Amino acid sequence: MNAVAAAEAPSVADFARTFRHVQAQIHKVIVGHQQAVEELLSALFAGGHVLIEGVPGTGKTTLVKTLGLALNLSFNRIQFTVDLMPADITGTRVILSGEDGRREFSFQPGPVFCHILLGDEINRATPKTQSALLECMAELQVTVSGMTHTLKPPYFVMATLNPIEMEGTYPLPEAQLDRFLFKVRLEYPDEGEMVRIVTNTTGPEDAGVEPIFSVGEAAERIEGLKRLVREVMVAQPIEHYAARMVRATQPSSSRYIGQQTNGLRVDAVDRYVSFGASPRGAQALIMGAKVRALLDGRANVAYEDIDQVAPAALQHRVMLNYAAHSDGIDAAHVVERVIQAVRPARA
Amino acid sequence: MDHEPAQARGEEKSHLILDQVASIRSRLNALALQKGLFGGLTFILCAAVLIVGAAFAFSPLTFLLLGIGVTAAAVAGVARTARAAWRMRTSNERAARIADERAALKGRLTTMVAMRVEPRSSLWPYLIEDTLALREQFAAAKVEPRRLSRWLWAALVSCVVAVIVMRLAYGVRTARLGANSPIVNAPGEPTADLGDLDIRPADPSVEPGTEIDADPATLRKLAEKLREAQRGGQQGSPTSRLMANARDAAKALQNKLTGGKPAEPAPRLRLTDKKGGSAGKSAAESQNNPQANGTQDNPQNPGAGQQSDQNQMQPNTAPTPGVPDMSGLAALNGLNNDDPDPNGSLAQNTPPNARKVPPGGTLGSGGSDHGSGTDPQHLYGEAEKPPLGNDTFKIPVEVGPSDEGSSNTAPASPPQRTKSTLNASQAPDEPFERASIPASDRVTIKRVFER
Repeated sequence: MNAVAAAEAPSVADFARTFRHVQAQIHKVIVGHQQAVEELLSALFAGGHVLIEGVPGTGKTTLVKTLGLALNLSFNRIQFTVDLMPADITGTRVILSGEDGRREFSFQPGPVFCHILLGDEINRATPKTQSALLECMAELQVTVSGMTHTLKPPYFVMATLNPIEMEGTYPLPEAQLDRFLFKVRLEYPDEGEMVRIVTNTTGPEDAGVEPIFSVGEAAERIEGLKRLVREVMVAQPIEHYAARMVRATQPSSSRYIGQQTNGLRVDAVDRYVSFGASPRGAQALIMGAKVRALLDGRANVAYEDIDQVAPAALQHRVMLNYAAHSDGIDAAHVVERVIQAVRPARA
Repeated sequence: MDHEPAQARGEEKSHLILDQVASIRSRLNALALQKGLFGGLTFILCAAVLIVGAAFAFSPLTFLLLGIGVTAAAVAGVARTARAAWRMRTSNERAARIADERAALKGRLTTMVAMRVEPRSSLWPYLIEDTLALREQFAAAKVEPRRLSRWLWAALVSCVVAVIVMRLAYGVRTARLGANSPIVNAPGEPTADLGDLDIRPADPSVEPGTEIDADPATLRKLAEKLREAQRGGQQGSPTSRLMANARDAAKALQNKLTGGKPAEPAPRLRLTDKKGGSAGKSAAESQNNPQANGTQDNPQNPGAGQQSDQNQMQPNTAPTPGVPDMSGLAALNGLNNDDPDPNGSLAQNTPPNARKVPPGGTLGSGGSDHGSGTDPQHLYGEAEKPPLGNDTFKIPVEVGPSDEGSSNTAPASPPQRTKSTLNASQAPDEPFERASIPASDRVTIKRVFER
């Protein structure tokens, strides 16, 4: 049994090959955004969820949809609005008439019951509806009327945020932001990319995305790759490095870091950050670094892997204060300063 | 069944990798050790060269300040280098991390060293194979090409410079030592104002360095004057005295290094033994040695013992600390009646039979060689040695003729010898030249003298 399992277990080379294959399929549709696509797939194989931020028309929805097609997994999309209720996304009990005419309550699953869920413009829903996603994302289950319904793995939530048109929106609470492994930015395409987008989308034929896996094996193969990611080894100094980086995002004046001193002070953090990353940030760093190590054909995490995933893993976990907003400082700037401050302290 | 051999091969491969990490560690530690040793040596040599150079180039005070600064800098440099070398010491984990960085291994060695004890991942064999394939990249010679620290060259250069400077300094020092030899250039003697002292030369033919005699009180005053002259430059505030001491110490060190003229020795009054019994001993030694002081019967020198017995009858003869015992000079000062000190009248109080020379003794009276201190009874008698013990003071004092008298009655010095031309009735005090006797008169002269 074990021998069979070992024989079926994907290797490091399998992982990199599958990853690049999916990436190539996505880029048949999505022009540019190489880093965003790589981070998106990294979060998928690391077992996390992604918050996508981008202006309208940059291909957020198309990206998620293409991913579902490439992986041949079930895909649902929820357009979050102000009047959207939690039951609209989780499902509810409805009265159904049986063949014998009897009426009984039956659970009608909501759109969260799928493998890949796109929550479009999640900041337009009320916090009550937003928090309905928490249980799904963290525990892969939904509780309705006292009954718990399990979600089938792999479960991957991608929520999009529109950074403009902020009127009438409900910014995501920190607790919910923390549950997203990465925050991916979709930048505005340059001229060459714009031409390619126009060419690909205005022609008579759509770009055909070929599924990587068959319907029956897709979930199992992806879960196997996720298990392989967790096998990647991380040396203790590198774990300390990640922990030090996360602690460096906390301002030294924070009352939540306790008596223990931070050990590393970053001026930008002290000036512009009201609250830094949580331990989930360190987990995100390590898991993302493991994916990057496998992509590089390694079974171990390097310092460079931590540095590469740090912006995506920490940006949305750093809460900026008013001084940052007034000075025009964003979280990416602060995280970059943190990386620069921690890098010499590799010990 | 294939599992155990595969595991053994994996262990063997991991040991190969870890051995290579250990060799990197050894090389890095050797470099750290070399840095500590050669770095410290470099700082010490540079400091020595600077100090020797400063000894030749600067005044004592500048040399002192520069020496302190250079020494402090050298100590700081040695400490800093030792600290840096201590920090450079390498463990296996650190060696693996350095190798990862220099060979761009992206944490492979760090992970292997960190997880070698308990590899819990199924990817461990993969990591071993992956790392082993890159083995040539992290060879010790590639990770750290240097076997010798750069500090070795710094130490060698400083050694060469130090040898050159030391040879030059040795040559200059030797030349200066030759120039400052006591034969060539005798050290100067301290001078003191002796205006209120009654000192008479032992011999009218006054020459520099002449031994002089005086009564004990005068000699005590003289000794005090010399001491005051010696410490004349050391008076002042404690700070200035401290500075003077520091300057003297710096000067002494500078002279040692450069072979310069050594500091003048402290003037000392000492008891000398005309017989050579206690010559060269200091006054303090003389006080501690009863034989040298004549305070105990000496079988080889009964005169001294006799003198000692006489001294014991005198009051106030105990030597003052720091002042030489001058009781042995008492007999010499019999004619000096100005001093009411009983020691001064010792020669007059001594019975005549005590002045006879005992067999083998050294007791003697004055004579023509004894000047104004001679007993008139013995002027025409057999010359006797002065009734001294074997101890006396030898005081190097610059003495010359002067018109000023130390007292109102006696001149300070004998009249000068003058030469004048002879008149017609005078003839030089020389014998006539013997004339030859004519042959005709020889018989007559012979007859007269035979008669």
